Amino acid sequence: MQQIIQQIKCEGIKDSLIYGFPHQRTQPATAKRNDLDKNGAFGSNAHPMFWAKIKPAVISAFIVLNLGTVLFMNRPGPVVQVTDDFLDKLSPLAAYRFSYAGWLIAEYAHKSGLDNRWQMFGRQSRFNWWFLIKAKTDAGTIDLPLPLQSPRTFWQRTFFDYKEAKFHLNLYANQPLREAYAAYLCRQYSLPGHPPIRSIIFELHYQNLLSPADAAKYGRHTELESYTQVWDEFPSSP
Amino acid sequence: MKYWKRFFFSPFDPLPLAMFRLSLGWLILVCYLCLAPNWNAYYSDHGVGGAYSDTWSIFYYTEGIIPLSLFWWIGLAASIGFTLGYQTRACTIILYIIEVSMIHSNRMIVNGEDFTFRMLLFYSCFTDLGKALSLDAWVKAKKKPITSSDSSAWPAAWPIRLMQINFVLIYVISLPNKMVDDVAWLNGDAIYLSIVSNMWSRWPWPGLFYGGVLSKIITYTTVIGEGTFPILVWFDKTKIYSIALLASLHLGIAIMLQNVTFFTLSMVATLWIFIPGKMLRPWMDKVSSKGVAEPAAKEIPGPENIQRGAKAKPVAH
Repeated sequence: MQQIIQQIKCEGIKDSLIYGFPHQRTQPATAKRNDLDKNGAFGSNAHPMFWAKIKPAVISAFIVLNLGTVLFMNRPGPVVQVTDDFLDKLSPLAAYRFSYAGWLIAEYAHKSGLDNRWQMFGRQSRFNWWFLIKAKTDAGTIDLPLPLQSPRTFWQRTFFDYKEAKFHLNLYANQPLREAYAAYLCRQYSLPGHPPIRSIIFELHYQNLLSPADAAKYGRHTELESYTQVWDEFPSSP
Repeated sequence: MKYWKRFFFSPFDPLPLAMFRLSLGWLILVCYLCLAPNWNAYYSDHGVGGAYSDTWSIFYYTEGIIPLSLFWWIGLAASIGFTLGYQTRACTIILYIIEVSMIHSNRMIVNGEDFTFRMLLFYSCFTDLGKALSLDAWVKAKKKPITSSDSSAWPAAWPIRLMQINFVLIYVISLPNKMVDDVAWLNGDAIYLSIVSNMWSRWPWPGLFYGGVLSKIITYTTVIGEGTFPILVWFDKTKIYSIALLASLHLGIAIMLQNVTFFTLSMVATLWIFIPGKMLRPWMDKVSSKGVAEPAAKEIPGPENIQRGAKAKPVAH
């Protein structure tokens, strides 16, 4: 019996090493389950024993990987600069290896979803702004009935439009996105029976904010003047 | 090494996890309902962000095979299952996959809550959030009643510890960033600027913040709250005050600012995992006695107890 137990134990460890996880193996007919358990849980339990031994180490490595990834993805600018300077001093091969390791971590972060750079309300705008997005047709120019520029109910504003602000924030900083959005609007609002859309116009409106002291002095928080600029006009694609 | 083991490998009280699951699940469920009218416009290849998608998305690989709108229904069903604690682990994994797909399908409409949900769901995949206050626990308890000393059924702490540390890191990382990025966090004008912003504010009385006194008070309270939380939350005596302060700040944001409501509420929901189960249990006992594993732990092996050399016991928070 001891020989059988020893054989199964060895096979169990081998399986775990080969497969990387506990592998189901048919027990020899002569080995009774109860006997095996009494003698230290072999057979189908041999792999769990092995796994139990290495599990803390594997999980610890996983913990370090995840926390390290979050810290790596959120390195402050000066740390990135120091790292880059360090890489510049290395031989090309060593620098490549370090860069490759960094790429692997970034790739893991991207796949697992730990790649976010955490910033909460970091930068505050000193002016209020909004886009007015218009469609130019043969019949004239019309303001498109989009969420942030048309009358909305409380429910629509509160629950359904909650991603619009972030989208406009991205539109503000991203000209290719505005172009892609213009193409989408052309597709969306080119309806049969309506004049065809010739182009989409992005008009930026903005108004400077007063300082808290000036706001108290004047009883309002914006300057009286509001400014308008046409940022883009994207022709409708044929 | 033994401190590491005690911190990461002790069982974790399932009751705070259950509260966390209920709060997060409800929030995700509401998010799905809110996304309903715009789901296709946001996430389809021909939608508003078609040019800003990448391939790490189940939507991409199933395009033309599974209708996009079906994923909304799957997500909705999974969020209901997650909230109720029915097939919790499976629902968690489904929600994580869909959340990742949403983010990768349109980077241009990703809000803070998307990143928070993704991070929380990622770690939740490695644990069972349905050990208490759930249909799973209820069914299990019917088959085999859980006794007061049955802490063997508690989930391992390490995924929750990862979640806790990652949550704390959000403040550790973002606070210095905001202090460097904008002087308004140093001179106390940050809250004023948020309150008078046409994009973020829904506060109907901005006049209260004119002059800047109230803004300075709230701005510095925010900085103190966010700055001290990563330290104070680990100590028994200060934990609850730190959590209360942070929860108040986030609830204040939810009331005063628009478009960040789900993000800020997701932060509040996560605070449950820091609350000791022994504090919640008296409340819960009044609500339900079934499906809740009662505590076997008397001591909390947080850093404070580790310093005192406390012996390893199941984690009671």
